[in-house]
Amino acid sequence: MNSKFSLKKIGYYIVSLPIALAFLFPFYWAVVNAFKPRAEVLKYPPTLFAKQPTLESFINLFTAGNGNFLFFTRNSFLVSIGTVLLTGVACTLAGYALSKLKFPGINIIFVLILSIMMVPFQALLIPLYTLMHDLGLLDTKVALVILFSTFRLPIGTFIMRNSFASLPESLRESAMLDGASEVQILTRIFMPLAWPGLLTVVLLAFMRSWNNFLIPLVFTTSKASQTLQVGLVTFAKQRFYTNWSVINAGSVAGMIPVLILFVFLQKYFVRGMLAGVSD
Amino acid sequence: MKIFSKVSRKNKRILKSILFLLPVLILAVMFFLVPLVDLFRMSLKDVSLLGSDKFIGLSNFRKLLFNDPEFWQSLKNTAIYSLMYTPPRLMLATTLAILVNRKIKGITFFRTSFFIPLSISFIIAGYIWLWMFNDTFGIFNYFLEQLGILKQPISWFGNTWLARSAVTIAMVWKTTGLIMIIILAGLQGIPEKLYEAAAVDGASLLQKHLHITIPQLRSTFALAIILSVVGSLKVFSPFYVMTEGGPSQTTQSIVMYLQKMGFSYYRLGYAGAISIVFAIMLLVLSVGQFKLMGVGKE
Repeated sequence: MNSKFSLKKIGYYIVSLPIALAFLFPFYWAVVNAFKPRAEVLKYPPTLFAKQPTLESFINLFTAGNGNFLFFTRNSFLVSIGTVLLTGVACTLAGYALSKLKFPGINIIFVLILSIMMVPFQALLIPLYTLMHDLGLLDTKVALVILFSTFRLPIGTFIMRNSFASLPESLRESAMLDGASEVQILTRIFMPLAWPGLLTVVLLAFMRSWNNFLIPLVFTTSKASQTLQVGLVTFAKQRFYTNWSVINAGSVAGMIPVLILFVFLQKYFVRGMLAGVSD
Repeated sequence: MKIFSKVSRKNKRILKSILFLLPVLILAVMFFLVPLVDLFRMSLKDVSLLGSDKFIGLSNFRKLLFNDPEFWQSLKNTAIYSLMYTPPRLMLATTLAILVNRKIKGITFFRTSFFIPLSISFIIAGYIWLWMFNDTFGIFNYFLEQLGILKQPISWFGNTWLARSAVTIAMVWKTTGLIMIIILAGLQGIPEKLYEAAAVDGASLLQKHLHITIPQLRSTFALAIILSVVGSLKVFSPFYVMTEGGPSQTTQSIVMYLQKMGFSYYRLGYAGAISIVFAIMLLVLSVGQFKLMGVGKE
């Protein structure tokens, strides 16, 4: 009985481990190549380990073109944090209202918010472009924050509404009897209980705005507002040849923030992705 | 007096509620509803950034649907990609979900490994794989040579079908984790006693999956298929990075064509018409998706 059990276990590992390693290999390969000297990157057959690991590619990445990549990275952080704040606040307030401050007809508002999901943002790029043009927001980080947040609203509001709905109405009533204001009730009574929902919403918002490419590609043109993803593509396409050492270093640098968040807060990512499944 | 205070309290509540909803409403109206209406207006015009703004009725749609081979080519490219991407993604995701649906030492490691490519951007995933598929220095060709499948390195992006295959492989790697967790959630919803009953009847592992798992997961699979099709119809970044639409526009997706018409040629009215056709295609699928997900239900 016991030996059969462990045999089954070994079989399981024999199947799973190679698949897991195959999934991790592309990460490994980007990292190894980012640490190889340029001459070793352009070698065939490829070397499986960095024989003389060096930071050369990273130094090139961050110093090339007057440190443009630093600018792109900074912009990505600012835009993603801006999106996190706007999405977090807007969805929390709306979710609370939709769940605890209901009035006849409020569901129409909920349907309007959810209907954003029915139209892919790609289909709205054209009118949004002329709108941003008229508002004088083309090529600004503000435009990116607004657009990223708008398309996070349906799922964010949905998650927050559900978070509050699972909490009892009596919490609000007893706080009201104590004379607490609505904002106090929300921040002091409900948020300490509803924070997992908010964390899910803002993590997804951070990841989506950090990773998105099409929106910054269309709405930004200068290094003052372009993000890391656009910067990486500019790097790869501006030269006559592609500098693969720098691209590998840029890929590694560009995925570190989301990977760190992901590894530590995986539970919330999974929850968020299940709630608002989309590629 | 009592009635009056009751009414005013109710009004106060509505007022508070609307104040709380205001940020979301402003964003939703200004950056969703207004542009959505504007899209229809623009698609009926010959709009360009150079100043022309002439009403031309349905001309854009007529040209797009009946006289634009490049649009149909992009549509075809996207549909082919969708067909290439959906089945392997689903099969792999099902296998992985079954693998990680148990309590065993190291399960977190496996689950994380399969899931982690989801967190990085399509751009970075595209470059990682573009480098692995490099014709001269790529490790992919090297592995295939070592395995004896290839005699000499091949150029993955010089040939339409190889280019499509390369992007498909990269994207299945990148996105399978999402379908895996959906199927995993479905698996965990299957009542344990069904398997116990089958075990009593002496069913094999394969029989259990064939006769219990798969039928029980019917709506989960339907959701997964819709999601994959929707995701692949919206594809942009991986092709933009890996193939740039080539060779000779045989891997240009609809969104790439839309982006090119709109923001390289600045034919905004025409790109608006493309957007509407694209949105209608996806709308049908999205309705099905949200029904299956039960979004909006209490």
